[in-house]
Amino acid sequence: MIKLDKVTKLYKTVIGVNEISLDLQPGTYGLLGPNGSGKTTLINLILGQLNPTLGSVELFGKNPFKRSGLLRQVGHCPALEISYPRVTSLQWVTYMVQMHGFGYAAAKKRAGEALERVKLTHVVNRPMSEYSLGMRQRAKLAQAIAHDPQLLILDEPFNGLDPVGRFEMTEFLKDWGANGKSLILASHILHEVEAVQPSFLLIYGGRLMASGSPEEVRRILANSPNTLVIKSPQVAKLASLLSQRCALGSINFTADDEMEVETLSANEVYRALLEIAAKEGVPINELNSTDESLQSLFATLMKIHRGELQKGAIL
Amino acid sequence: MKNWIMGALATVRFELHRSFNIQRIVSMVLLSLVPPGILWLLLFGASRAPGNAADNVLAYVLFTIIFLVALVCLLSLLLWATPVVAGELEGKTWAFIAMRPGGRIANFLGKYLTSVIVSFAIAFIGLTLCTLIANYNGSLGTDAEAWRKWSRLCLIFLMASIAYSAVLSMIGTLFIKRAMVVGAGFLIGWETILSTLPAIVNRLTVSYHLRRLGELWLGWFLPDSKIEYEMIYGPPDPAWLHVGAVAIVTAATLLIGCYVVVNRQYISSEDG
Repeated sequence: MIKLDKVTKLYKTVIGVNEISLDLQPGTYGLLGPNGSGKTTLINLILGQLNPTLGSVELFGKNPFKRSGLLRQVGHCPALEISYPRVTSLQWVTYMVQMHGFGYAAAKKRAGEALERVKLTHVVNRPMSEYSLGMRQRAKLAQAIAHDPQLLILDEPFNGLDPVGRFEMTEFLKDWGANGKSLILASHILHEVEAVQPSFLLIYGGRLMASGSPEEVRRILANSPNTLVIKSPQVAKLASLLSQRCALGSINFTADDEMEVETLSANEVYRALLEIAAKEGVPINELNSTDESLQSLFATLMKIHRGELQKGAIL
Repeated sequence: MKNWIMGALATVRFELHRSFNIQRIVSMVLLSLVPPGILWLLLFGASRAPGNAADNVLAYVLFTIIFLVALVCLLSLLLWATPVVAGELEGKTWAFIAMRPGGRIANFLGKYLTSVIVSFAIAFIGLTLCTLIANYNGSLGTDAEAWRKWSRLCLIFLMASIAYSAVLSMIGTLFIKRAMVVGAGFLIGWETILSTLPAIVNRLTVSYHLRRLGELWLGWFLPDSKIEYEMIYGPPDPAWLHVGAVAIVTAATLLIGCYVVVNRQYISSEDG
């Protein structure tokens, strides 16, 4: 499906990606890397939006640069925040589908179906400038899936989503993969990608550091704690309930309504938080995952790369 | 090809649809009211002036109309045609458009057509109101003559919108930052100064050919200067040659614009 052969992309003297070779068969992939690691550059190379300085790229067996017909089979949801004042999501998604060569009526029908699929039906006629970050994220997803692509590429799709939204997005992506379609999910938050159960591509400093299954990555992460920042007006009660439901490494109260939770299984904490919010009625205002788990993973990989550690399971 | 056409038409529809809001409509109407407003003030002042002053003003009515309408037409083109790529990059929508099969060309052509429609609409309204005002005073000859001039001017302004929009759109693909400044520089430096130079190089400008078409179709529109003018520039070529020159400039700049927009690697993300 996607083949990269020693691909290097330079932005003048800055290296975007560095000698990456890949051969991806249809399936679900998680592209993981900290901010600035080269994820977006790699995606743009795969999509033919950038031409590699060195090496070659193939998408569905052809060079995607200047061959935009290949994009009929691809849906892309960039991490960028769009700003179209006074445009409704239905208008925008319809326009995006029309750009695939559909007539207005067919495009509008497909746009409506896609917006229904991402649960935005109730606001399709409201200007997108009035949407929350999470709603705009869903509209972006709708434009990526409306033309029914074979390959879906999402760049940081969980940005701005609340816990329910994250759960729904995860379920949607699992369904997408289960229906035999391919998915590349780029993120800098490990648990978000992990929940979709993809094969991992780990990128750091423009280099592909490793690739492998979730089990293989988890093996590396076995001793790397994850840190979550949770905001709630009842933070003490939340901490108590959370510690009863899952194993926590530590809890640190950083403010009256904020705590940092260290855990070896962030997914378990997410499930517990949903349960606490639903059953105990404890409000959760904000949930953030720090990069620490990923940082520790990449720290380990860098040590392996430099030869400071023996090669691990996933290399 | 089908995708380009469908995409371009979809872009025109989308762009016009999102322009239908009160601020944009008011700004377009105000812009198109500038020429008739100024013309009315000039004629009103002239009607109250003593002696030959009124005749001097009335002799320049057609030239004044052309100058004022051209000014607002070009201003609207600068606003609509030059940000063809910059607008999408600033709005961070380029990544979505470029991801469509033929999306880059479709968007470029769609925005080009939109700028032609908007700028010609502004010119058309301004020109029609100017003709009504001037005709009321009888400054454009008989009623039939006035509307004959109006129809010829409409054609010239349509050609101007089509040609200048293509040139400015091409500039918009080449210069992402300050495309409007470069566009204004082109209109002043190239199209205004170069077109008036008494040298063969003036034939490279669109305004030279439009001016000569004006002479052919409207008759001489400046008082007492035809002999001097033709001594410097020579007689106009046949109309088809001037129309052909404008068409070639339009086609060439659109082709260059399409080539640039397809091949250039526009970066709209700060993320690596």
